[in-house]
Amino acid sequence: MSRNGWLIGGAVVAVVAIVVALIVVSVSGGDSSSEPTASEIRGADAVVALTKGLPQDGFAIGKPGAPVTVREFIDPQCPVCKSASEDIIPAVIAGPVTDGTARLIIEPLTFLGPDSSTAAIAIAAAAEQDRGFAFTEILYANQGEENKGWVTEDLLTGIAGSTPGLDTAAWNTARSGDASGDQLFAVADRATANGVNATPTFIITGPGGKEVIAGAKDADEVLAAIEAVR
Amino acid sequence: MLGLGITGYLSWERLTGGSPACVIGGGCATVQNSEYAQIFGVSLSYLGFITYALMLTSALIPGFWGRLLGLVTSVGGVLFSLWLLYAELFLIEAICPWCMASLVVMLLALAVAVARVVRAGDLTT
Repeated sequence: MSRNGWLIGGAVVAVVAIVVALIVVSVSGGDSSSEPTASEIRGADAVVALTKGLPQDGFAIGKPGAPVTVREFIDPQCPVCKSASEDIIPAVIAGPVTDGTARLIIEPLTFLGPDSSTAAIAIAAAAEQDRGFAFTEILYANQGEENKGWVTEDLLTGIAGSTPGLDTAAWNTARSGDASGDQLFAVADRATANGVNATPTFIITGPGGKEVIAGAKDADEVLAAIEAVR
Repeated sequence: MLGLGITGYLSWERLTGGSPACVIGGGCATVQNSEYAQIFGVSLSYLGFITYALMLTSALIPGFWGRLLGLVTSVGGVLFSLWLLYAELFLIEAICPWCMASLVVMLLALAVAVARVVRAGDLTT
């Protein structure tokens, strides 16, 4: 083989070795995530502070007669919905929901996989006790890796126990009842009727009309839409 | 240029806050937000953009060193793309169409790089 041939062979072997080493080291180094146990539920205190003094009803939070309704279509496993839960929802609650302008309703979909369905049933069961919103927010604070079995019984029971005002025994019974599933079917029907094809999608309605935001980038976008339809 | 466009778009999405939605029937946000789409915290879309830029540079460098750079970058690019494909299929369980398109472009670039080397007789002379 020529000198150039040896150079090419050596360079290709070197780049293959480097790439494989980078992938192996990166993956093995990043495998340190673990799901929280019931005693390690994150975010409950923040949700208690967020919901304090606000009326909750089913999947909703905010004054029932509020002129603006904000429907947020989510999937419990969607990482972008988790970001919205951290970056957008607190601003909406602190602003228009707290001042009575808007009422926020969580609409859980289950298109990302089996963990989505298990989590959504748990949310719907909490909604039967008017704690759907609070349960969802604590769930997002504890979101794990998609379709890796992160929605465990331990996790859900821990979240239920951390959700203020939730009767855990009644919630557990409701999970196996028909009503929770029926609520999710109704959400799916509303998503289809509104042409929702991504999460999070915010559908904001009020006296001034209707705004649809599929994949909001920040709180300002949602707050401006609420202002536009109020 | 096509590869630069694809990875440039994905890099821009990431720089501006990532793809802002989980699309029903899609998976770009899921794949892009996955730990498997990063190497030591650096998004593969950035690495892909750099790789395509190096490929473009290699095409402008005449002679052996240009051909070697083209071959090395395309081999690395194909390996990373195949790794991401494996992760999409078996670990993340979501498919990113843009990433698939990039894999096709990478494979074409590798074929061109190999053809350049063979045609120039680098392996025999």
